[in-house]
Amino acid sequence: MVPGEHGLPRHAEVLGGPFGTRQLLRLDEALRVADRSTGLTFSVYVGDLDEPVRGHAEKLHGELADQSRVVLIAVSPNQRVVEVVTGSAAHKRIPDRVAKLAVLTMTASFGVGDLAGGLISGLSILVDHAGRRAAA
Amino acid sequence: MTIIETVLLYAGVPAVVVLAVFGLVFVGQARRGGRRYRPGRPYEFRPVWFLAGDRRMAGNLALGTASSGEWPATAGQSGTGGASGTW
Repeated sequence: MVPGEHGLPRHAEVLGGPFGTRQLLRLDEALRVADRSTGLTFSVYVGDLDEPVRGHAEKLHGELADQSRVVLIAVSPNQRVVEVVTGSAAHKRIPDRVAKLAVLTMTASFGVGDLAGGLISGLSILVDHAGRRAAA
Repeated sequence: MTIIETVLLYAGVPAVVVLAVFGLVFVGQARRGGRRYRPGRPYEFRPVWFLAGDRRMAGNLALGTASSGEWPATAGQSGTGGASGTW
């Protein structure tokens, strides 16, 4: 990871999106801490998903490099669906039971309109259960 | 007081106050509440995809729903886990 480099695209469409500047910074920090502490790659997608939703989320997951270590959280506010996809290596450290717990936490926040807060809570649950980098 | 003064005092001043309150409320809404997700309202923002650090994704952010048939075939379907939820 390159120090000081921010993963959030600083395009106008992101700043004009559903997240405020402070929320974007918190999300960025949460993602960087998640990657650094676990050694896995966490990614968040917010936008419409095609039917079947699960299949689309897995395709997005497959687009990322080193996908066995990738954990993707895909949220579609229009369809009111959230999907967590874990790669094969990530799946060993984040069982489906834990992914479901993160999903339940996120949907509780999404239901009251808090996208950023839900994503950060869900990330923290996944990170807590994935453990430290040495456990990989 | 003349009639004009009376009208200004009892109709003009309340009208100005009402307009000022309306204006403040409207400006506040447009600035804060205009661009966020609310459950039940349509979500019309472009898709965003966040990734930390120097890792870059293979595709770009223009993941419109129209391009669903063009995804590369990947082996990522096997061995993946996760969970789903709705709200």
